[in-house]
Amino acid sequence: MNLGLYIHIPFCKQKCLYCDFPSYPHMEGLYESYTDALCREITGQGVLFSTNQVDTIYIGGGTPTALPAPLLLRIVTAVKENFAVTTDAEVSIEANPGTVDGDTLTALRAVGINRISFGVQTFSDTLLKRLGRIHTGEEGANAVRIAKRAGFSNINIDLMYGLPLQQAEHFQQSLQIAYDLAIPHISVYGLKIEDETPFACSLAQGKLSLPSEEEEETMYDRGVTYLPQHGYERYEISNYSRPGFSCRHNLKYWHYAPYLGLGAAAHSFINRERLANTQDVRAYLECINSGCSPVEHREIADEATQMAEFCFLALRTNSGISYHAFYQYFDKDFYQKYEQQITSLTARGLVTTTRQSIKLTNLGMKYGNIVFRTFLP
Amino acid sequence: MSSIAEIGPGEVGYIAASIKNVKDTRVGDTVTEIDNPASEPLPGYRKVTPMVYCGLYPVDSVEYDSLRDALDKLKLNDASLAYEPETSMALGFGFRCGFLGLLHMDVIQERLEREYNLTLITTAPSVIFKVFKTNGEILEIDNPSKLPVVQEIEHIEEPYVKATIIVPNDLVGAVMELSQEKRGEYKDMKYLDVTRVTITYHLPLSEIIYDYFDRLKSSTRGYASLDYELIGYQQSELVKLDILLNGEPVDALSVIVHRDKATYRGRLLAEKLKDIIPRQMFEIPIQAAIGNKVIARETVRAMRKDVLAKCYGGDISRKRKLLEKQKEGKKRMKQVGNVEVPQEAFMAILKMD
Repeated sequence: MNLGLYIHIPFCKQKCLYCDFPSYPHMEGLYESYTDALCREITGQGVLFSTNQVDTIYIGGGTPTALPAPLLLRIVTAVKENFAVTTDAEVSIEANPGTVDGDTLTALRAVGINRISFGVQTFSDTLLKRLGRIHTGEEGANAVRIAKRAGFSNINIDLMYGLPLQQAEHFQQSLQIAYDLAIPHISVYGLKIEDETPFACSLAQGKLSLPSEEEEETMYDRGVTYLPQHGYERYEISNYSRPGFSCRHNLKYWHYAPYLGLGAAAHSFINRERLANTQDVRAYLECINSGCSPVEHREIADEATQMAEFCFLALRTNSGISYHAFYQYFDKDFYQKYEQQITSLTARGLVTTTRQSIKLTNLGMKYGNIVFRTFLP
Repeated sequence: MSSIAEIGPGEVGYIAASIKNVKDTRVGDTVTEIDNPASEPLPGYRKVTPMVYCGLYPVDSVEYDSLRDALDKLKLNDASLAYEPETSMALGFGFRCGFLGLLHMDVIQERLEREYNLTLITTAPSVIFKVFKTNGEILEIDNPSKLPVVQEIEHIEEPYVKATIIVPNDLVGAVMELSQEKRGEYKDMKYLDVTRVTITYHLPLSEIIYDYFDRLKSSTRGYASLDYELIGYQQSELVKLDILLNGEPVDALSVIVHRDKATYRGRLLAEKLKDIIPRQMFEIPIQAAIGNKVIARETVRAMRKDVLAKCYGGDISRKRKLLEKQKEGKKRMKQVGNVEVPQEAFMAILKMD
């Protein structure tokens, strides 16, 4: 089976106020040694997975483009030298609009990276500032133009709703700008206040003026209607794309396909086992340099839990759960196993079924958790 | 262990009496011999009768049989526990159980949950009301939902207790204020010594089982002690307070309360339920009604959306755990009509004033 590779770059220029990802600012001193360690891990894993074809690669973070271009090029080259990367592989990289320039992007494109994802979040300067982002709205738009000039046609931007001070109009404007820029892929996320972030702190102190639930819902609804009306297909709960531009790598996560994570904090899903590398960059370096495994957690869920995961992940996509795929994976009849759930969810208008599959309705997309929960053992 | 001729206070021993069923004996029975029978039981023992009743329902109806078995087993060493099957429109099949008091009720409920691994819904405790119907019939009602319609009721009597409260003399005021509020009739006050006072009140038992003891303790900084015994029934102006969720009356949430307090309790209960019932996909009106008259209304606003934000490779385990946690919370909820009602809603009436 084809393998997806995820490569984690745990660095950024400045931590955003809402971010709880494993990403660390002010570690410029470790860029070089991290790249060395990462390449060592790539080499080692390449031997173990020599029989697998790699058809998607995703370099995420953090901010991968915080690394100087030559280091990024070394990483991509190491992957190509050690894995059997298919010629038509999708190779994505995440980038912060404040960290890109034409030369870097041209170099990345030249080394085979063919998809770029910008964390734009919003085109409003006031809102960006409140988020602690390092770029302006115009820089966001400009990054897209630069990427196009550098030869990228497969471009994503992330947009967020439910931001402090954000109104439905702001969000609508951002959608409009994204459309005007002819960006083929848009991810739309609601802001979630994660524990132990500066935002969680401000919220507790009453210093964060978040939109009301009603306003947030309005923004969500705007996205859900605006984008499909403008030629984007909602192929996953929070992802929209023009035909042919859905992210093949991300689809692997939802299709329960195997992927190998490389780098600190990277997660893998191999032979039904979930593994996670240590989040601590220095610990990661130590492990790699002393020849140990950086894997910190590993878990094989029991079959009932695997089925639940399979279901809630597949249901996130617009194709839903294919009964056939379920049968192939678990050798069990989906309909028989979940008849009760299907009946109740259908009656509540949350899912629709065909002879081959079951998927969320628009209502079901909105109340996804209600549906997902019912598949848990 | 050795065989002895007699056994005295404080000693432990056993006799073999060929008793087949534990239910046939009670604590306080007189033991006698066939050859030399006692003509009367020893004086001073009374049969214990349950004073407080509540409904026990399994959250998951498949646990009904397990609940029955568990109650059977508990009954083996606790003859004072009484139970019989009952059905609720809202909660399905369960048992109406009689207890000696609130502590007894708490203990049994906890034991059922912990030792027998059951997830239960307990309805608010009720006393036994005597309902005198216009046709001369007298009903003993231990479940508010069984109260006949108003037109058929001549009057209702409720059990009263003689409550004896011992309290430091500077806290007498607090005790009196509370007892008065709980519809108590002042009977007597005696000084035990210079600083301690015994106050006697006649109080409706239904008020005691609500939150009298808790409030007595808190308003006297824990100094007051309470003892009570049943003294009989007295006529009261009682009405049934119904709760409607989404327009449907929920029998398990009905309570019988004094007319003067009905409006206040109804409003408070509706407010309380509004906070307890989680938001769902649709708006849920909560109404408190006496007869056909709605006396309070609150609304649980609709949940706007409920979706896991993003979900990529590294998020999957975390998201799954989040869903599992949510599902665990759901397990303690009962589907009433199309509304999910958490366990504590059925006890909300107790924690109000």
